[in-house]
Amino acid sequence: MTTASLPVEASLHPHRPADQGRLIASFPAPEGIAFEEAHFQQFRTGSDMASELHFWTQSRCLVTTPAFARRREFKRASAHSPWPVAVRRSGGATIFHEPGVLCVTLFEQLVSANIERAYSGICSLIVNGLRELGVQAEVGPLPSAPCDGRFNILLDGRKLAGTAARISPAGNRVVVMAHAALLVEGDCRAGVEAVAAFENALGLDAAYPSGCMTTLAEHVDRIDVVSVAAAIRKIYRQL
Amino acid sequence: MSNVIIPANLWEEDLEGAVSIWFFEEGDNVSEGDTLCEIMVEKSTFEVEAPAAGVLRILVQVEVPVKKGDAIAHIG
Repeated sequence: MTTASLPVEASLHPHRPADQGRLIASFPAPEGIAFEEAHFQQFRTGSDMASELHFWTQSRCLVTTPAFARRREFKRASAHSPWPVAVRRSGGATIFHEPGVLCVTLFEQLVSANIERAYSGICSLIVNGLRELGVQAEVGPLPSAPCDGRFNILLDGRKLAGTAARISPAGNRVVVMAHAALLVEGDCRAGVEAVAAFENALGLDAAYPSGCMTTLAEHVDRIDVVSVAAAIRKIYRQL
Repeated sequence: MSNVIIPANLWEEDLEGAVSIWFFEEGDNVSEGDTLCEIMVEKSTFEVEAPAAGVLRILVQVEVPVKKGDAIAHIG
């Protein structure tokens, strides 16, 4: 999965015509999730673009799922978590966001979608964007890491980014929102520990080995969310 | 009476999913095209729309495993 191939319908514009404003939107948690949801609904109901790419960050928080939010322990676990807890509608388990975690959201309009296709665009953009920075990442599972799935971005056998997707019918098409949380800089061990503590407070048996996740800053000098977003956007513009 | 069926082409892989949330309650009136629920398969969420207008009868509760082609509700 190294080549992005976004299908461009004849009636749709391939990309946003120009970048408006800043490259990365920054929010106090959990407003980033609301930003993403609002853009998804806007894209689903009214966009004539084949795809849109957004970059955003938010302040430190845990982001969990509706299934976990239904657990009877949720209120207490959230109240006792030193990291504020937000709930998103996409799948998976619990992850952490902070200013050094670059959230990448790709919206696509497709004729049809399957799970592989839903993830191929975002994974290709990130893998190829990282290659621009001299980083050789790959896509795959890592069962020992939080919020594991088949479409993690891995670097040296550690989880660099998690992904999730949402697929929604829209007339005779489907709209896909694929999201990645890419660890660029910061203390990811503290994030992993916060996830484990929260999930254990939910009554889950969460144990993640130290070092199961990594940041780009552990591998690349002078890296930040802006340079990573710029590299991914460069790949997107080439499609 | 219309059955709300998980479309066979909603996902291609031979995987089980589960309803993660119903956006309407048993007995609610729904309109054609309303998003009724979300189905979680792996880390992917699929939205299911109402095929017709009417009163919703839920057959499959949240977190119960489902497969493609399963009827998850009636609309009558």
